[in-house]
Amino acid sequence: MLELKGLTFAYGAVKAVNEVDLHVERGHVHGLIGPNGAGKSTCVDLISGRRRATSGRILFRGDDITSRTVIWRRHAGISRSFQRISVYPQLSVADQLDLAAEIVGEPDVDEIVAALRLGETLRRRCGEISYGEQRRVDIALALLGHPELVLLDEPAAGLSHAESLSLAEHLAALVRQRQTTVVLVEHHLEVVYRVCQRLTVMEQGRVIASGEPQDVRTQPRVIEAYLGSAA
Amino acid sequence: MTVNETNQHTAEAREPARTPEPPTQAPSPRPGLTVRDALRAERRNDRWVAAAWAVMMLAGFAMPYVLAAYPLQLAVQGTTMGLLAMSIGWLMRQTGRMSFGHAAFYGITAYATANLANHTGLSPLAAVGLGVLMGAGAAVVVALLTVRTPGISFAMLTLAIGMLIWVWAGQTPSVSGGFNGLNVTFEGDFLGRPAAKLINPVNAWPLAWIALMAGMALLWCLSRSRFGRRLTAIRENKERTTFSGHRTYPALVLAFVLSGLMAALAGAVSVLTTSFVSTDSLYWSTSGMALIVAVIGGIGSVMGPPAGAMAFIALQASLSASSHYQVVLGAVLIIVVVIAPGGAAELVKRTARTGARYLGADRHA
Amino acid sequence: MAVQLLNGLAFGVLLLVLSSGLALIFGLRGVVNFAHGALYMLAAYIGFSATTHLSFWAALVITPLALASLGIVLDRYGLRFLSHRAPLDMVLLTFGLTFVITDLVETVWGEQSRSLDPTAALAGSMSVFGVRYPTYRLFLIAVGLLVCVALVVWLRLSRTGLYIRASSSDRRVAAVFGVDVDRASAIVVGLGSGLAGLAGVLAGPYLSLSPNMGVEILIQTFIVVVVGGLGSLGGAMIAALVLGMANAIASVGFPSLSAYVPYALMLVMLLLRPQGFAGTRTA
Ligand SMILES: Nc1ncnc2c1ncn2[C@@H]1O[C@H](COP(=O)(O)OP(=O)(O)O)[C@@H](O)[C@H]1O
Ligand SMILES: [Mg+2]
Repeated sequence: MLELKGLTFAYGAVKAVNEVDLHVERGHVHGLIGPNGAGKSTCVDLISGRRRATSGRILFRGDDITSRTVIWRRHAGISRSFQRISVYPQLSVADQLDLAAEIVGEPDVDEIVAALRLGETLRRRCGEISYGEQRRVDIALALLGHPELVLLDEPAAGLSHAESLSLAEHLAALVRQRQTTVVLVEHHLEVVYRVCQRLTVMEQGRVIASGEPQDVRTQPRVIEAYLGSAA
Repeated sequence: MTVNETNQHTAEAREPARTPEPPTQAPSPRPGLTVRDALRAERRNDRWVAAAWAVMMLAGFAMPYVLAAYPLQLAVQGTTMGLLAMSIGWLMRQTGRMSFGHAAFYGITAYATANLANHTGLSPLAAVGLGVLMGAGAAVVVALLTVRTPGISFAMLTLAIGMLIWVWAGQTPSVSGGFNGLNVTFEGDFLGRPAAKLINPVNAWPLAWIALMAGMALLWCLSRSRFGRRLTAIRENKERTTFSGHRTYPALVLAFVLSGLMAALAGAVSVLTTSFVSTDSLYWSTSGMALIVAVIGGIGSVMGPPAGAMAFIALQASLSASSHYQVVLGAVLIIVVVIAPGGAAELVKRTARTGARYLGADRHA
Repeated sequence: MAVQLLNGLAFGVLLLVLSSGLALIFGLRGVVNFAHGALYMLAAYIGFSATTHLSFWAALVITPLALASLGIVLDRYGLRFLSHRAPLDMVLLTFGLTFVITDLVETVWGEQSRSLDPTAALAGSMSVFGVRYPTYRLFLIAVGLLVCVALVVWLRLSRTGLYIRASSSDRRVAAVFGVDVDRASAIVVGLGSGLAGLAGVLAGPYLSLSPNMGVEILIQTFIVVVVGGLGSLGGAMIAALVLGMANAIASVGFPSLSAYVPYALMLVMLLLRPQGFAGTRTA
C-alpha cells in the first residue's frame, strides 16, 4: 500500500527524517511511535506532500508519488489530520464537512458524523466547540471521501484517558468498515496497542524497530529509547 | 443550483440502502442532526435577505420622484462609490485580502471608455463595454501576480501597482488630460437614450441603480454559491483547504477578477454619469476611501459597503462647509474597528435577529 | 551632480529617521502604522509653531518629546488592548487615526501650505566637495545620521535594547523569559513616534508644510520598510539611503522615469520576497 524507501528530510542541518524505510500493508492500522522530535510529524508531512523529501522515494500502491502535489495525493486517496488541529474556526461544523465532502465526493457525511459523535455540534461554529470536538472535526475532514490511506497525527493528544479510548474504538470500527489503511502517530500507548496491527518506532529521525506490536514492545532498544521500564 | 445539487447528493446517499444501525455506531444518545438539516437551518434567513433586496430594488426607482436634483446627483455618486466599496469589501470578506489597488481598475475603465468615446467612432455602449473589458483585463494581470501573497504584503503590492498606473497617467496627459482631467463627449445612444444626457441625474439614476443592485445580487449569490463557500474556506484555512483537495490559486484569481470587474463597472458608471475622468480616480486614496466606507458599512453583508458609501457621500455633502468630515469619518472608522467589527450591517443583522427571536417568543407564548 | 547626490542623501536621511520609527513599531507590535505619516505631519506643524514662538532649537527638543509622549499614550491606552487583533484591523485603525490627525491639523493651522526659514545659524550655504550646498540640509544629514547611529548602538548595547530585540523576535518567548513586553512596547512606540517627531521638525525648513505631506512621504516610508525587510532596522536604514539616492540619480538621469522608481522597487521586492512583511527582526 505505502512504501518509504530511504526517505530523508532535513530542516537546514537537522535531519528530521533520516533514511527511513517503511512498509504499510493495506487495511492495517500502522502505529508510528517514538519520543518527541523523533521525526514522526515530518514523516506524515512527507507522505501527505506538505514537505518535499530531500532524498528517498515514496511509493503508493506501487507508484512513485514522491514529487506529487498535496492536491494530487488527496484525490489519489491519501489524506491526513494535523497534530496542531487544523479546522475552519469561523465556519459551522456542518458547513465545513459539507464543503470538504463535496470537493472529494463523500456520499455519506452523516456516517462519519455519527462515528465521531459530532451530531450535537453541527450547527455550532468550530471555534466555539470544545478541544476534543475540534480534534474530531479535524479527523472527520481527513476521513471524507473514502481515502485509502489516512495519516492521523496524534489524534488523541489533549484528550482525557476515557475520551482517547472511546475515540480509538469508534475510529477503529469506522476504518475497519471502510477498509481504510491508517498510519497512526500516537503517544497514548494503550490506544496504540488496542488498534494497531503493526508498529514502527522512530528515534532521532531513524526507524529503530518495526513489526508486530508484541514483538516490538519487548525489544530492549525500544524500551530504552521510548517506552521506559514501565512497559 | 449549487444548493440543489448538494442536496440531491446527500438525499441519494440517504436512501433506504443504508443500514439503519451501522456497526460503528455505539448506541448514540440521540440521532442528532444530519449535515443537511443543519445547513438548511443556516440558510433560512436567505429568503428574507432576498425579499429585502427586491423591495429595495423597486423602491429605488422612486428616488427621482422623491429627491431634488442635487441630492439625486449625490445619490448617483453614492452608487458609483458603493460599487467600488462593494467590490473591495467583497474581496476582503471572501479572501481576507485588503486591496489598495482597485482604483486602478476603476480608473482604467473610466479612462479607456473616455478615450474610446472621444477618439474613435465607437458607440457609447461599445466604448463602455470595451472599457470594462480593459479594466477587467488589468484585474486578471494583477490577480495572477498578487493573489498568492497574503496579508499586508498583498495590500502593499496592490498599492504599488495602483500607484504605478497613477504615475503613468499623470505623465501621459494625451491619455489622461493631466491635471485638468478629461472631459468626455458621448455621441449616440446608450441603451436607447442619448448618452450625453446621462449627466442629468434623473436620467442617470435608473442606470446607476440597476448597476448597483445587479452587482449586489451577483456578489450575494456568489457568496452563497459553492464557489463562495470555497473561497471562505480558503480565507479561513488555506492549508486545510489544500489538504481537502481544492486548488486555491485559481479560485483566488477568479475572486480577484470578479471583484476587479465590479470595480470596472463602477468606473463605467462614473464616466457615463459625469462625462469626466481625472487622475484622482487612479490615486490610492480612491481605494482607501472605498475601503473605509466598506468597513464602516460592514463587509459581512453585500449591502453594507454601498450603504456606507451612500452615508459617506451624504455626510461629506452636509459637512463640506466646515470640512470636518475627515474627523468624523476617521473617528467612526476607529469606533467601528474597536467596538463594532462587522460595521453597520452587523448591527442591523443583530437587531433583526433579536427582533425575530422576540417575535418568535411572543408567538409561542 | 554632487549637489544631486547631496539632495538624495538629505531626502534619504529624512526617510531614514521616519522609517526607523515605522520599522521599530512594526518589529515589536506587528502593527503597520498608517498613522506614521500623520504623526510626522503633526510634528512638522508643532515644530513650526514652536519655532515661531520660541526658537528652532527649542522646537528640535520639544517636538520629538511631545510626539514621544503621544506615542506612549497611544500604546498605553490603545495598541496594548488591541494587540490580539488581526493585523488588517490595525491597518484600518491607524488609517482612521490619520484622518483624525489631518483634520486636527487643518483646524488648528489651516489648510494652506506654509514654509519655514532655517534659523539664522543654519541659513545660507557652505562649501562641501567643491560645491556650495545649503547649510540646513547638511545639518539635517548630520543630525539624522547621528540619531540613527545612536539608535543602533543603543539597541545593540543597552539592556533595554536587548529586551526590545528579544520581544521583536518573539513576544511570547520574551514574555516567558521575563521581559516586560508592555514596557518594551511603550518604549518602542514612544521612540518610534519620537523619531517621526524628529523627522517632522527637520522637514519643516527643508520641505514645505502641508496637510498632505504625511501621506506623500508615508508611501515612500512603506517602500523603504518593505524593501529593507519589514521590522528589520538595518535593512530599512540602507533602503532609505538607497531610495533617496535612486530618486536623486533618476531625477537627473531619467527625469521622466523617476516617479516610477519607488513603486517599481516596492513591486519588484514584494514579488521576489512576498514574505517581506513577515520578517520581524529589529536591528
Ligand atoms: N519547522 C521546523 N523547522 C526546523 N526544525 C523543525 C521544524 N519542525 C520540526 N523540526 C525538527 O525536526 C525534528 C522532528 O520533528 P517532528 O517531526 O515534529 O517530530 P515528532 O512529530 O516526532 O515529535 C525535531 O528535532 C524538530 O525540532
Ligand atoms: Mg509530532
